Amino acid sequence: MDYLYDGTYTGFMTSLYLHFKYRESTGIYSKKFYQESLTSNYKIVKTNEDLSQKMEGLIRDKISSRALKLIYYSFLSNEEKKEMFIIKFVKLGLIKGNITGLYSHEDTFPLQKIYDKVSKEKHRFLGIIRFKDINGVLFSKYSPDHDITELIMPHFSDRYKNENLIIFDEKRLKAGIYNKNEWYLSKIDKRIYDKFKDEEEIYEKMWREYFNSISIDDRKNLKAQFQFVPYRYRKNITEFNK
Amino acid sequence: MDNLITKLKILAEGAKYDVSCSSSGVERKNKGKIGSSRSFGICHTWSSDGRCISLLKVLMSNNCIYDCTYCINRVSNDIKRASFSPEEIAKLTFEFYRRNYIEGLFLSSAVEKNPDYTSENICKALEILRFKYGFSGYIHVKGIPNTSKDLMNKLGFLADRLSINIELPSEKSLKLLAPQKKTKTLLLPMRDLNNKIMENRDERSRYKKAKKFLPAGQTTQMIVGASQDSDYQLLKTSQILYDKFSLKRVFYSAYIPVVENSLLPAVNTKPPLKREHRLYQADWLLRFYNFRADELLSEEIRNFDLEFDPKINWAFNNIGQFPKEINKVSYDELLRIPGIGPKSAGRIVKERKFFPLNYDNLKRIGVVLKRAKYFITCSGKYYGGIDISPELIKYKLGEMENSRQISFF
Repeated sequence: MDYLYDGTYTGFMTSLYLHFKYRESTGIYSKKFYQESLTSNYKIVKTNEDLSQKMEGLIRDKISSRALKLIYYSFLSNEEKKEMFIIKFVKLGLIKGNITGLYSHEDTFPLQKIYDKVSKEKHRFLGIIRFKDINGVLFSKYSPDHDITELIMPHFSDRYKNENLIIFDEKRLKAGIYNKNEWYLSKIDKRIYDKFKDEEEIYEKMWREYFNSISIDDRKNLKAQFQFVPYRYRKNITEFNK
Repeated sequence: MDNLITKLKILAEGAKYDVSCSSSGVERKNKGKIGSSRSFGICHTWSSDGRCISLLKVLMSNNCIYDCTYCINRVSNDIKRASFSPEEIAKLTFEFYRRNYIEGLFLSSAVEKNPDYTSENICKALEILRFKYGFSGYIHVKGIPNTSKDLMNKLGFLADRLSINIELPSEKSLKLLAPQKKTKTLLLPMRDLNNKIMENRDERSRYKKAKKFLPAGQTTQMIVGASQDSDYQLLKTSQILYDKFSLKRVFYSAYIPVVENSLLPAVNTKPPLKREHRLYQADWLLRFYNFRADELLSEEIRNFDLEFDPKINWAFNNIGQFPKEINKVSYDELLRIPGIGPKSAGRIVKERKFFPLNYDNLKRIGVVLKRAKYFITCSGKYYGGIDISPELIKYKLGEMENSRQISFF
């Protein structure tokens, strides 16, 4: 039987708990993306905070807290089969113990790879997020491959602790919002964000001038530049526009 | 504002040949009003020359009293001149930082009037930034040779990192190309600063609240290809700087001829980028692979091979040590294998505790097998397919390189 969860991390952890402690499923899927067929046999799992926490505790105790991080990051990825890879990983861990050091094993490698991808993108966006000062609010929009907003918010809310800021994921229509006190995630209506005027600021102009002046023509290397800043990210990066 | 833009262009132009741009080495939460620092460093963008931009790299002024032959800012060069005020620098850094364009400031300057005047101005800019704007982000400051010790120390408490550029690795080249600079005036302050850093570290271990002095340490830069100095000389100098002054990094900058002078390469000479690349590779070997300069070059072989990298060349010269068994040799020995770096060596050591690794495992771990396969065995099996001889391996690697280039067209 397939387990279907509500798309949240807590929901997924609940299903994982049922899978290992109650009855093994044939697969865990997000309700949103589940493709039902004539032969499909599924159960909708009710998200349960207690069971979810029990599962996290189990992973922490039997495997490691690092494993929990690996799973959490992978859960935020856009990888289609992430649930299956997580199940395999946890299954092996519950038998073998701390398998965090296993990198190339067939049951750990997919997850390690996904984790690498998500952390790479997270790290990248710590650098290439661009804010615009709109009436005193720092506003940024971006479209990351993976759902990393909650991973980058702690960094920005500390760095700009005396500012109000919004980081808007235009792909998922959600935003990380910080109000000089705490940060939280919120769904954002596209119309609200369109209201923010896209006026060019003087500092954007200065930054572009700086960006062009700092390059050394005799060393031109557009291929390297492309590898570091792929085209798909460029539309929201100030210096690559205009 | 237009005036400010013009200044910014001139003073960024003047600073761009300084290659250091790293923002790593300090982990600090926001202790002021704005800014933090991450130990791993953050790159914010990449310019069209492929180099990372992390810090706002500008000069306070390009009005120089010195006349170093290789430098575009030298007094006898006919270029536009400009100077920032300390407030302008601070404000610009703050506003760029707020928009997440940069990780911090890298402030340098030509020697305006005299060294102390210049350093005082730099100091003022940093004080405004740190105290008025409450900036807690990364600051890299350039040490101006011949600045008084007190001023240097003051800068050390404001900045995270300080660098004094050696530029040329021998007294002879300095005399020829930068007659106003002396090795002694460059090295002595580096030594003093290092002593101060050590003292401060000691102090901080006893009093937690003691102010930090240059927590990200010192770096320096050497120009490659402006003088006759060999790679061996450059690398030996780096080795000494790492050993004696605990430098965090030595940067190498391929000389780009910016001036016609009989002492220098002609203006249309291409910068020696490949040579610079080899020096960086060798520098990595010193810092992360426990190699010594003398293992890589010698009085007989004074320059790096441009065709093969320094590590594989070392392996060719020590072929008797290979092949090494992946499942047995120590971490340090793994690091000596071409195609294996600290990351894959670390993974191998962790993972082989569970089970012996095979060839496929190595592929997934990220070992560069096209080089490594000639130098290893996995559980006794050799995958190179040819005898272990430098000539054969060189031939194979060359063949691969050729077919790669052909398939590209």
